Amino acid sequence: MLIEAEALEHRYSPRTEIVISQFSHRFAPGTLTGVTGSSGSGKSTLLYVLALLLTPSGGTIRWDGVDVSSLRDAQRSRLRAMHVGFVFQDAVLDLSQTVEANVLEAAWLAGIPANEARSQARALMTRFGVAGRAHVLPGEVSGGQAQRIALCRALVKGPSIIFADEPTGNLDDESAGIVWSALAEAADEGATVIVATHDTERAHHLPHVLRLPQ
Amino acid sequence: MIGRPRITDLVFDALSRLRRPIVPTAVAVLVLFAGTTAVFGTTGIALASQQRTLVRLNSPQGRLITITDAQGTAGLSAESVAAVSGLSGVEWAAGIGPATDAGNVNLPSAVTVPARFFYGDLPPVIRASTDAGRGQALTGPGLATTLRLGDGVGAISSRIQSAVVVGSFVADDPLTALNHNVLVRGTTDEGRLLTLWVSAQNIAGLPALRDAVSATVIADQPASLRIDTADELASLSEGVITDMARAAQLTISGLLVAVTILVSAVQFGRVAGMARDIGRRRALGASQSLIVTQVLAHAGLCGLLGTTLGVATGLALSAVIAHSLPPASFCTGVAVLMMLAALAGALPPAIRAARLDPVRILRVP
Repeated sequence: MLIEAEALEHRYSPRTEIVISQFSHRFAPGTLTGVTGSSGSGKSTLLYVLALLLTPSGGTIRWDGVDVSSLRDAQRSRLRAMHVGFVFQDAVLDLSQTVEANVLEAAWLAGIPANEARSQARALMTRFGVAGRAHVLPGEVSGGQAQRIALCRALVKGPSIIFADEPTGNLDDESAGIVWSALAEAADEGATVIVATHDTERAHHLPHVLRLPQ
Repeated sequence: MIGRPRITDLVFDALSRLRRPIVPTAVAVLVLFAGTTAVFGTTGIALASQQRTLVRLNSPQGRLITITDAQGTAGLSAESVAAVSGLSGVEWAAGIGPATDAGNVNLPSAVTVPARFFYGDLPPVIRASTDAGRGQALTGPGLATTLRLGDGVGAISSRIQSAVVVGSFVADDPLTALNHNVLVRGTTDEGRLLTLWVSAQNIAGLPALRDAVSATVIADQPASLRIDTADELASLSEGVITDMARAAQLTISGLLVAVTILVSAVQFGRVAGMARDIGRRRALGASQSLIVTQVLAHAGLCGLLGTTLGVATGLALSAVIAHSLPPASFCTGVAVLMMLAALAGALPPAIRAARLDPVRILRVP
């Protein structure tokens, strides 16, 4: 899905300083874009604004040419449920539910039929090597496994947009490599992948890098 | 893909969140259980006792109007029996005349017993071995032996009347005093009554019937008649019911407020503990209204569990303590009010949950 930002601005409240200023960019389908910048440059904020979790203070966001920046909460939530996969820095798994239930959460929020979702979830868990942990609680898995479970959750509904906020910040090289490969594969399959990262070495090898000014 | 959860998925999610985390669920269920049980333990038991009292008041004793010519000067006519029998709301009416000594005709020197003329049909509280026609007599329990009547039948005579004894009777409450008498069915309706009894069909109609009977009885000096009813008891009962209803309203209102506040506190705590889960859900596509629905669903399920357990316990308490159950409308009303209290208490935390900023929750410093 084509995401376009035009003259985007954001500040968290009228009394705080502006975080994103006059940002314009096109994120094309089938591309993986790394968003880099120093701490406080607004990488995460940009992701959340583009993902419609924050309403921009100014400017326009278009998804496939449709202005989505001023939609009501219910409409924005529905778009996120149907089209967006999210990978957070620390997986943010539901510690009270099993690994499989965590993966399925994104699918049932999107309204995908249970059988279809379960089949897709099992395929993804097998692909990322966590199928054997499907019925344990997240407290029993390692950090690397948790992030792979989060990847399964992001991919289970076959999203056309994937946002990842520092997805490898807490991982060892091997686990980080798995995550980056999965994100690249998703882009190859046509998804628009936007990753906020501090990892300048990895970002250096990405086809599209967007460096935000301080 | 429809972009919003299916109902079945929502139900399964709500059910799975009852078990994990278990503590807020258990506390919420306990609050609802305690609140419902407390309502039953106070108001429910009082209501059950009140119901039992009303049943007692509606007994033959409670529904009886007794008109007495205590001084024997009122000239209460036996025709009054037929006159009041035709009034609306009368179950039965019967009267007796003054007592005279009667003995076995064949044994003039033997023991005598009181005999009275009886007017009207035998009421349901008098069980007779046979029907007695006009001028025929029935003996109270054991009196046939006292009068030495072979096989319980024979003839008696008194100063004013001779009669053939055809059988016996047993009078139940409230006419048990008649058991010491021989009852002679009045030969005419022109005799005089000492006492006239009128039984109302129900206690609610007693005050109106009392007035109607008072206006209908045939007597030379009606003002000399004494009329006794249980309507004072009925009005006392009505006063008690009114006071009890006020007390019940206060008790239930207080308990509902307490339950609402406690449920609210529990749900605020639960929402605070689940902030990251709520933030993640919002990011994954849950709308604010879905978050509100999920918090309310949890509160509703806890309410259902707590209220069901509370009603069951409350009914058991009522049965054990008051030996009676409160009416079904009370049980339903309490259950509905408790459910509403659970939902009302959960609403502020649900709105708070929906307004949590997912970005602040999910960002790692």
